Amino acid sequence: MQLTARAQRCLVIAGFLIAPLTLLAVFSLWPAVQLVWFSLTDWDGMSADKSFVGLDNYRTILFEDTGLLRPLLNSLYYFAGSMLQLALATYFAVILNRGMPGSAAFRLILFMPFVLNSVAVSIVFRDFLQIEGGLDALMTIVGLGAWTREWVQDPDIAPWSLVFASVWRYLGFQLLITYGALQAVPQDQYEAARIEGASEWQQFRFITFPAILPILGLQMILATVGSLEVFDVPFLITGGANGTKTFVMATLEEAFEFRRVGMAAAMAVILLAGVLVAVAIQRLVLPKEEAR
Amino acid sequence: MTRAAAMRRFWTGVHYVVLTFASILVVAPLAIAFINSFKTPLEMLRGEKTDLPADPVNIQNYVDFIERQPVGIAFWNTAFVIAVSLIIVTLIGTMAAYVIDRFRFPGRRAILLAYVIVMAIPPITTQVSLYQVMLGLGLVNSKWALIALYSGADIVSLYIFITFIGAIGRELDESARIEGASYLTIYWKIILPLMVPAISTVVILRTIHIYNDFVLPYLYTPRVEQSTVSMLLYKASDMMSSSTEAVLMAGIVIVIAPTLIAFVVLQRQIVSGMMRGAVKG
Repeated sequence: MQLTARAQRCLVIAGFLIAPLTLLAVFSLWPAVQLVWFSLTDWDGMSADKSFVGLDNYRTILFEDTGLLRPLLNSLYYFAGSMLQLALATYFAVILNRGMPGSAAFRLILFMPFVLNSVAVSIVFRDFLQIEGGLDALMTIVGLGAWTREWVQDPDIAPWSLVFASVWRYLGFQLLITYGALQAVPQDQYEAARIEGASEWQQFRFITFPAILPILGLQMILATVGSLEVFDVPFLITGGANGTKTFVMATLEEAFEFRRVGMAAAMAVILLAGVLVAVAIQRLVLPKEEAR
Repeated sequence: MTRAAAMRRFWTGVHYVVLTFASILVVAPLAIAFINSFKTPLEMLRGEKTDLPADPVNIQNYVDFIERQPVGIAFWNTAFVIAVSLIIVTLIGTMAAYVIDRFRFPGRRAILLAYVIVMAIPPITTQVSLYQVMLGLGLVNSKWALIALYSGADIVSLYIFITFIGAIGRELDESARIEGASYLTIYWKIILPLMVPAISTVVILRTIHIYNDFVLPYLYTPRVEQSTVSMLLYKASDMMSSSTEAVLMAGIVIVIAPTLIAFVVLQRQIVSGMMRGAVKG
């Protein structure tokens, strides 16, 4: 039987879209809608009935039990860390882009942590940062033995240790993105600048920096969003002890340990709102990305 | 030597020192874990972490880890989840990209908008309610939960496919159409082969992601019997005491080794795949 062209067209559109749209609805859209609904109830995640409590959960989080919001402050450590990481990654990308001997090997080493299993690297770091762990032993070898600290036990230092672990993990990834952007900058511009007698700093300031600005802007957005969403590295290294709990950890704990799904949903909505606001602000402030 | 040349040499030296220092910081924790995986419990207890093991080919810890932990099943599950998720995501992703890019139909803009909205929602924020959905579907504690989420909720891959197909000229599929090929034939014989570069990017990005992810296995497959290597290590580290720390290090090496080997062998593909895909994600 020969179908008409029109029927064939309808068939292929419907047939090819039914699976992806069903999956989109079930695993992405529906949970998002549910999340907002849960956040307006006092549901415990198990009992059949949940009663509508309006904005009570939000009021509790924002004004009454402000301890719930406290982990959000820890995002500031990660934000500071991610800005430092961005600066470092840009520096590394720029010098590696000059093609000094050995660049490829350095690039590979710095990128490597990104492809490793989260749990594995977190356990490796947990051991590395322990009292009398690998870091202390290394510091002793190079004569810095007097400077060892309780890296993950001391609440003043622990957040920074975790930031270090996180920079360790993600630096190479940012390096790679920036490096990719640098590769697209035409080399003859540097050529011309050198003939004019421009210093390396001037070359960076007037050629490289403007060329990679859009990518840096994008990475700042990703870094900000990322610092709000931190979960697995600190969860696996300290479990949130010694003042290192992040907001995502607190949210999941609320939902799955304390069985306060309504409250957890409200926290998740607040986090989501924070992410969207951060993205919106940076979109407005930062230079537009060129159309690709 | 001119002053400028001297300055340049000075700065090159500085760059090398910084790069070397950073590389040592990257490698050191891994190298220490590696050497400790060959130590006896007594060596772990007494010596410094940086001491070399007395017997550098002492594989007892590896034997112990493999015997005591469900290593085989975890690796099998990981391979299974990766393979099935990638097949599903490739098929439905390219099909959706084909239809969305090549056809104009009512509702198309709404579908695109839905994808844009979902892209803006970080998945970690919706786990609280997604968990209830998965419970309702009876998927919690099954590796099918992981497969469903790694394929069904993978919007980034779909976005890579849509961007890529938009850059493929329409001449081929239009002339095939004129010659009377069905849409299904065009998709299967023309579009899919042309999408191979995008597919390989997605395969690389997603394999790395699925192999390394912790959040989804932790939430949806708490039992190692249904879970991936992430959960294998997580459970093992929960059970271990300081006397069996070296065994845990052996487990870490077992999990990391395949990735490292693949990374060294496929570095060019991985790096370019990352660069292509990452910016869009």
